[in-house]
Amino acid sequence: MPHLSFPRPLNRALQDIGSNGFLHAITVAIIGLVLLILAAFIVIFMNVNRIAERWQADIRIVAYVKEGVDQDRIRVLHQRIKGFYGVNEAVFISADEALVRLRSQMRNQAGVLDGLKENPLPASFEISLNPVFHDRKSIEGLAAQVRETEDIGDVQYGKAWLNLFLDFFAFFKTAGFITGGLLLLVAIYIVSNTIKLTLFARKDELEIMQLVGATRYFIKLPFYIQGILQGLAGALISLATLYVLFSVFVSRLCCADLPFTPFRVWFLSKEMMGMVVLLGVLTGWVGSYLSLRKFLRAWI
Amino acid sequence: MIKTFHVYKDYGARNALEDVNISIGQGEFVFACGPSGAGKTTLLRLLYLGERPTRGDILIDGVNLHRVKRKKLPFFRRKIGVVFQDFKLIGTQTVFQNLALPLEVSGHKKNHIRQKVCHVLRVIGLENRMNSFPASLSGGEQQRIAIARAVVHDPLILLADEPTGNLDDRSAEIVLDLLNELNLKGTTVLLATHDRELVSRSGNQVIFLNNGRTKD
Repeated sequence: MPHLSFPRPLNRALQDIGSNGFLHAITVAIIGLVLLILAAFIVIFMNVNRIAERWQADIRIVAYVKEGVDQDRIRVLHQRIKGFYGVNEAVFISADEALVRLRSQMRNQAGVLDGLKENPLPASFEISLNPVFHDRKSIEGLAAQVRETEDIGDVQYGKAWLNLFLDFFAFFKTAGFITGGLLLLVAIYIVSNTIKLTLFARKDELEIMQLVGATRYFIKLPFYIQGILQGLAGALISLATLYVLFSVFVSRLCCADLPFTPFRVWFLSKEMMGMVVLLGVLTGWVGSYLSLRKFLRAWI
Repeated sequence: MIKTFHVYKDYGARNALEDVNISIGQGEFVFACGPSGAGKTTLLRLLYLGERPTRGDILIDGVNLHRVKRKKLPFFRRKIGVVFQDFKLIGTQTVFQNLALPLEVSGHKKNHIRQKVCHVLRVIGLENRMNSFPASLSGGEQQRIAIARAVVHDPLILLADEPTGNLDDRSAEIVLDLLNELNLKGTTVLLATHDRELVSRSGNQVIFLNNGRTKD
């Protein structure tokens, strides 16, 4: 039984790429550029996400106790707050402790507090949250729950800052996905057109192939391989370029002696790199699929 | 081997073929003869399923072509070899690669392809042109290569559309001799031509076509 060996279509695909080298190089470069932008976005998104997670993990709700609440009621209040869903720990800070803290934070300016006849600071609970309880909705819900508790005067958790940051982050994510999607569509369109040009250049040859009994699969396979190879090459080039840019950026960042707390900058994980390669291959395949579908549909 | 029953082919208002009924037995060498526009090429196109008839039935090797679905079309076409007036060789490929194509699409192994192509090239006397490109060959040589490509996979039927139309007398004679040899080996040949002299010289069965109709 005759069989179709794989290397033959691969050879035909490579021959085609060789004979239209410039066209294919341009296509690979465009796929590479699109994937570079996408991968760079993923790197930024991933790192911002990590920072956000760390900041969110540090978020504490401070619940101020009303004036005149005695120790017994504070003990009951403490137990109630600890019992709320999502609370990891609730530490009671008495009015005196609060003043000591303020003094230590003010250091040299602590003298201004000496003139106070009585302690103006309220007692409070510093509530830290469970690690899975760091989304905006949960924090807001818990803060509202604490605020409604008897003997609690006010609740603070940096709401405005948190909302601003999370809104920006959500916008960044949405804009990134939309831009990335559009760029991918552009890449698919370009691959599709490259393959279409190759198809037109080989129109007579393809017609002869059909005449001598070539199956659609036999005709299509080299073009699919071309598209996939273009996508693969584009993805690898984009990852290599991104890695070089990333290394330069990180080395500059480390030498910059920045005033804020330094944090580790992460590159793409192996899985993410695999995803970028897969995305490149898919882009190439979809591009060739679309052009072949249109081109071969016209035939009998 | 080939039978048509009341076959019509219309292109809009123009009738390229009208009520064509022919019968060609296995191993026969038949001419389809008629002036330009008589419907010879259309008839051949219907036989290798380059197009479907508007009406009527065509039977090839006992198969009604209406029943050949799109997916099965390549396998049907492997039973038929087609030769054109303009050769239709692939200019970017060598003679060897052109001849190897019908065997490649059928999925034959490399060794078999090499042996078969070399054998066919020896038969047509062009084994020394194996690595040449079609453009470097004469018209007669190109047509011999085109015939070789049409028969390299041992088809049951060979359809030739004006195969000598672009050739000088000497080359035309060589091509006809080659077709006769193939016919003697058992291949059914249907050759379309406008050349009445060629037909009368051969003494073979003739189907006359005029304005899309057959006549006796």
